[in-house]
Amino acid sequence: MIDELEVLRRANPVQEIDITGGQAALLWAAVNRRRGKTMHLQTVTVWCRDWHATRAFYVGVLGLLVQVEEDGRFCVLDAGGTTLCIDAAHGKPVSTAQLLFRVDDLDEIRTRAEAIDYPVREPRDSSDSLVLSDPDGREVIIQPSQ
Amino acid sequence: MCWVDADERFRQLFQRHFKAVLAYALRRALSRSDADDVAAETFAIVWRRMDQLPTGDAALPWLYGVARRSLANQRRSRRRAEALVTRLGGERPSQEAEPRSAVLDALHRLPEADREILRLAAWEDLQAREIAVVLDITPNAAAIRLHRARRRLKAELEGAE
Repeated sequence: MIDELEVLRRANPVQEIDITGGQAALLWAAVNRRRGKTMHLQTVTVWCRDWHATRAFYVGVLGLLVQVEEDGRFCVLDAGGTTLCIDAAHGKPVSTAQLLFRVDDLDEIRTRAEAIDYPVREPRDSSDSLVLSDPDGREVIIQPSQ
Repeated sequence: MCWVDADERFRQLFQRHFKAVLAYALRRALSRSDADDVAAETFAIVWRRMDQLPTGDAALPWLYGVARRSLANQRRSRRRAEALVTRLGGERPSQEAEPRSAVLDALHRLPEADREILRLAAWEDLQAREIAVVLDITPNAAAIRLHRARRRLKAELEGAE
């Protein structure tokens, strides 16, 4: 005896959504853009142990453009409307964070990472995205903009 | 209702239901980004129609109804864009293959109206009275349509064995 609804229930293609805070934030921001309510995040500062390695990651691998910098101390990067500031921790505790970027060309970042053997992890879900860790271990998720 | 109340009520609504709405969209859209768009558009429409939002447990089926129409709009836009590309001599973008199993194959042999009512019952776990809200029909009509759709799916599944 077939319980057709139960059979179909088991074939549910999305049983549970594993959604990160970053993805929830993106959706909330998209909703707010559509309802004309925006609050712009101006600057995010991450404190890092190894300034040069961290700069190399965000500039060399991710391709963010440097706006202002002082060698070994800080650099201010254009993160698409928000400024990402990389500050040397100089003994202070480093920040933990998860950063989620939307990019037009995912493969460009993959190619740059692979060129220097920078580890790229597969996403936990089956989405078309890249997961990297910056030199301090902060998770950086890259998703295509469309 | 003052603006602050409406804003807070909307925030709570999003907090409570965004996963369910996103899951609804993910089960039906062609891609993750399409599903994100449908979910965002759904809540944007809901914001404009907060005065019509039912209270309590009736809110989620109502949200599914809005999501359903958003998804239909997105599909229409996509078809228009593809038709334009074809007229201009370009290649139609390839559609992602839907994941198939014997059950999903059986489901896809049914008319769209049957498919949606079955998905709502099985995947969104809705009762006939809630399905009625989503589809904007009477509870009685929803119960009858669900019964018939179940019978047709059962026949398809038995035929496939």
